[in-house]
Amino acid sequence: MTAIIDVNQLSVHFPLATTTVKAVDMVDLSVEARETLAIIGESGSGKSVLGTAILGLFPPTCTVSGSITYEGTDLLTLSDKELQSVRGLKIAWVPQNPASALNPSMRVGEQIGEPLSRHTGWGKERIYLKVLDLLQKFRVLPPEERFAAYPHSFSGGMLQRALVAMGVSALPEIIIADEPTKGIDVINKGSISAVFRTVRDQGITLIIITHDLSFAHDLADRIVVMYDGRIIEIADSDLFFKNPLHPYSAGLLLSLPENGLHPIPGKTRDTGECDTGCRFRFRCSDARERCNDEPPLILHESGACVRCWNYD
Amino acid sequence: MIKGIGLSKDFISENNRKNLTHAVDDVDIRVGKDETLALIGESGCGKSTLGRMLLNLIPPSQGDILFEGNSLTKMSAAELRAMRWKFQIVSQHPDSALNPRWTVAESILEPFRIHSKMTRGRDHKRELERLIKLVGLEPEQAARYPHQLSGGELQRAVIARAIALDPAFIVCDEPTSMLDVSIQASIIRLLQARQKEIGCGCLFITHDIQLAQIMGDRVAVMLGGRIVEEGVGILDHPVHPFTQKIVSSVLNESATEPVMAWDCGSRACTFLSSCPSRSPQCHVFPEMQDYGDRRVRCHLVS
Repeated sequence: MTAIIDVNQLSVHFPLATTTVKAVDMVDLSVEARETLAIIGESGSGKSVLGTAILGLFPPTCTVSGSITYEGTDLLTLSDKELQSVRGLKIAWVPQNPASALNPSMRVGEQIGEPLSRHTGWGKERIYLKVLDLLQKFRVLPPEERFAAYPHSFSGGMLQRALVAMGVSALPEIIIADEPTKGIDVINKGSISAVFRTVRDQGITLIIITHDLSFAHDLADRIVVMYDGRIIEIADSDLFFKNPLHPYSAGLLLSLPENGLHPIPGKTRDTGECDTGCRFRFRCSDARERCNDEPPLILHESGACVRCWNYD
Repeated sequence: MIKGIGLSKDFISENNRKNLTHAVDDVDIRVGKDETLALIGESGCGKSTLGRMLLNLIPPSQGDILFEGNSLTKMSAAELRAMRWKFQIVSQHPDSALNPRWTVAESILEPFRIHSKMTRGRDHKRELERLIKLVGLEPEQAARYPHQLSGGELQRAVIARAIALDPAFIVCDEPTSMLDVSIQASIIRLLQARQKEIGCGCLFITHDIQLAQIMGDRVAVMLGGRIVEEGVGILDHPVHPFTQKIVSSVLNESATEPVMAWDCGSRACTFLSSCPSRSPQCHVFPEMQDYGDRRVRCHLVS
């Protein structure tokens, strides 16, 4: 397996008047070609910022350091113009909250065809047929009618499928999807899973940002857990759900309804509140004095990596 | 304790009077004292409308709501207002449930201001302290405005407001669907504990089957504006084909297709077009049949 994206020591910080919010802090991650990677963690853990960073999309106020290597070039050094030939064509983004991700005054079909008309130079007719084909494939039915409809007439699940269709339209190598199942009911979630499985079977690398653990389990090959801007565990999916290593990961799984709904004690601290030591030590039942020093990512015998002194 | 009889709600489009949506269609529902009824169904099936209708927040097009034997639909606005403290709602979006220009404390104390006659002599400061502690907020968070709190903290504030006057009935409309799993667990635990303390009835609306199983003493399954199956343990042993479908969707996510169309308002069974075991008689919607511990609307069951 070869890495398609190599994130190296990436930090995205937001300087505020009194503190600095470290949304992503010294993250190393390599994504392998054709794998499906799920980044999980609670709101505010920095998973969306990490996702958008790979596309070179940053809020104007942040400071960025580190590198993101794709096809031998560091994406962070590219100009906006150069990035535009990567975004949508090589790396596509499926945004969170489909209801506000589409232009409400533009027909859905035209929006799905936008990456094609931008990156391929195809004629209108050819794009139309391709979009119909995509709608059919992602079960936004009936395609002709849905092509000409406006976003408000779509249900949440259908919009999400249309957005995935838009993401795949220009056949990118990588798709990054942000919370694709948020607000979608259990019954329609199956169809979202199916759509992503189709994408995966086309050989596209998938990065799914989610806090829906069952969805991650269903799709992903590897799981990355983020907590307070840091990666605290990377493990194969089956292994992770059988035997989570980090106390936070274990707590996450225990808080699922099917595992008895045990909440993780304590509260998430404001980011930037603590700069040294393990970020989870205030909520951890295993916390010791040693946890005042931050543990490195430790390679566990199972092949997983975990940032916890328990495995030293 | 609270009972809906033959509840229906039709929404009529402003532009086109013929464009009618049967959001809820002839539903009988009952929630007993200290009982939790979990109501599950797809988005758009009418479960939120039904929940709001039970509180008479949306007046029903047809049918009646009985609360402790009194009909809510026949009351005058003043009578209804005097009773309102007894039934509360915790909504899906905590960020839009609180007034953005009020501090959290002002919102939590609003029930005391509205029902000032009833709560005369109660010290607002002490009540606030009590409620804040009950829901696990920090005292300084009460002085903040909603935009300064996270989703989970806001939902705690909404719960504090809902339980302020010890209501007899609470509608929880997907209270955790917008929250993370770890926060969801703590909010559910909080709801369970407070409900037990107050001893109130609860309608818990959700689309999460596992949550429904944990929360509900009884479970009702809704499809296309109608309740198709209701009773104790129906998720362990589903009888109606739609219940079977949603239960299997949890066990095996890949196997499910969304229900494409509901035949809302028609005389046929709502599940007709997607049902694997339909028969010609399904073109006439079956009546609700009572089997002791459960009620089912399906021709196949007998």
